[in-house]
Amino acid sequence: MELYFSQDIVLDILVRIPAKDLMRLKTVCKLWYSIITDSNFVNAHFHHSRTHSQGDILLKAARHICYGLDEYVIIKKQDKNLLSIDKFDLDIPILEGRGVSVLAGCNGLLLLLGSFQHVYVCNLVTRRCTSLPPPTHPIKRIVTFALNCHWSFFYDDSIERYKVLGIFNEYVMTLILGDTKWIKTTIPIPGNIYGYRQLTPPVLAEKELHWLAYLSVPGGEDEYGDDEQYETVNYSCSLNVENMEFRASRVPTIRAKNYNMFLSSEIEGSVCFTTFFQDNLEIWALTDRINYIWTRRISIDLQPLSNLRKFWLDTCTVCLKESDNNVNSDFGLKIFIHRGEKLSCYDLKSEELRQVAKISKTLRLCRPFQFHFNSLLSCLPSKAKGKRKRETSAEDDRSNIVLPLTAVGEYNRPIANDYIELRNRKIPRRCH
Amino acid sequence: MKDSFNPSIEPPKKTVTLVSSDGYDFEVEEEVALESQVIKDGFEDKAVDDREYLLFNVHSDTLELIIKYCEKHVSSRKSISAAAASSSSSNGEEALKEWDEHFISVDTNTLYDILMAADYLNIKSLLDLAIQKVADTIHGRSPEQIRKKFNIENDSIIDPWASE
Repeated sequence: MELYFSQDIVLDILVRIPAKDLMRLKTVCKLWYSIITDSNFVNAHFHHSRTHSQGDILLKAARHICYGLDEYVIIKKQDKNLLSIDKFDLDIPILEGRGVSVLAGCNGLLLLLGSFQHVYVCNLVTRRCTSLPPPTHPIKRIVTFALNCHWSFFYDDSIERYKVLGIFNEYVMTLILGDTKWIKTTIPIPGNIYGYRQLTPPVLAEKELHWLAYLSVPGGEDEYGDDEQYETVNYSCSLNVENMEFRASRVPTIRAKNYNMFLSSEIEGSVCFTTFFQDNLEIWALTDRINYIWTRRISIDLQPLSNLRKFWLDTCTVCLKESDNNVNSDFGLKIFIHRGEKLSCYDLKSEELRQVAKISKTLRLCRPFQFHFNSLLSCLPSKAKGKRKRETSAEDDRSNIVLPLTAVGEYNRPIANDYIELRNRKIPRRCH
Repeated sequence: MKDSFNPSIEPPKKTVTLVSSDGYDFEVEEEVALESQVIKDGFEDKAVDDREYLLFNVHSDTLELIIKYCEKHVSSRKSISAAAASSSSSNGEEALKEWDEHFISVDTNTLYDILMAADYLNIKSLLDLAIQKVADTIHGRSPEQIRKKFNIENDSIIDPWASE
């Protein structure tokens, strides 16, 4: 039997296939090759995978004494709320065996730190790796700047380019991908800079990076009338990535043992952070973005965990939606606890602690990432590939602009016009 | 659609005739036929006594399946909205999903026929279902197996290792 699918059906089929398989299927025929390498298709494919899955979680476990090989555990959500947990290997040929660490990620691209402070952007599916100009140190004496920095990597709509941003105390180093120079900015941190310490990695939401920090501020009442008193308080800091406007506000939390900032589509306010204090977990959300007000939304008793000594020292909280269809489901906050060689997951609903994986004893869980790996995107606007691209027209050049995809949080963006255009480019339909 | 679901003043069921490519007539209820966007689009302009559609691209075997699918979806949609109205818990959506899964578990040729017919009639949910099924079958297969499965001629001059 002869079969002829129209091109838009082939497109619809291919858009649902994991990026890893597509890399192989390029060789099926010329039509499939031209579809899979088309930048419109790549965007549509990523858009589809992002709207149909919430991505995978990567837990980073780092050696805390000497810098070196970190370990990563990848948590994938499968059907029926099952989690699959695997070791995650960064097997990138050019970086092999040199102790690569993940700094940040966006749209299927990872920002990686190799040896000698080299920074790379890499798509693990297409295995395309771009080396970035080495970050210039904001002040001379920091040798391990890249390691001590808090990194962020995102797509900036306003300039239609990817941006890498490293925050080290009051210094912000920015690189627009494709440029050769890092730009240094200083943010006005209130209070005493020596008392400042960043507590969480920055999280991007609506053009602002949010993080938590300790700050030393002049203390209130002092019985001796001495104004040299400082007290350490928690501050939330936000930096607008487009105009570098900075704002900070005190958050009335207790000094917790463990902090984690995350984005949640379920909790009103979407930007949230958790604080652990011994037997209590609190979730705070940015409920008023304009007036910059944080509110405590949820407080959870962690009494069942109290038999684990100092469990909060080696813990990561991860937000995973329970079910994709059920709107009424609880938000899926999971707590991963590392004890000895065991990595356990604590379910808040059933108050159950179960072992999920094994990781080395000497490592300490340090942070979770949420990534979409299922992507063929590249970090630079793809150049017309000379001989391989047969029909290069003005229209194709225009299509090389990468779809505006800003980190997580904007799941409901309508399908870009480019995709619809591509769908309408039909080939004559033949039916059997 | 909601107005029509009222047991007390139910109007007599209007029907539409669908004619398959091999000349068989299928008489179906109006709302079942309206699952197809193509039929829906020109529906109001057509005279009531002239509601007959010649489907040149759909064989009777496929059309039978398609009608079965549409009937199931119309009826389960009603029962789901009825359950929601009486606020009784139901797992209607899940049951429908299971039914869909069972429905689409057919041999390759039938699957392609359904896909083409769903595309031709523009029944979005069925098209999605069929496309997802085809995409699932591609998973984990080699390019050579894909070519065989889809009857694709190997015109590829690309060195498979060049892309790595």
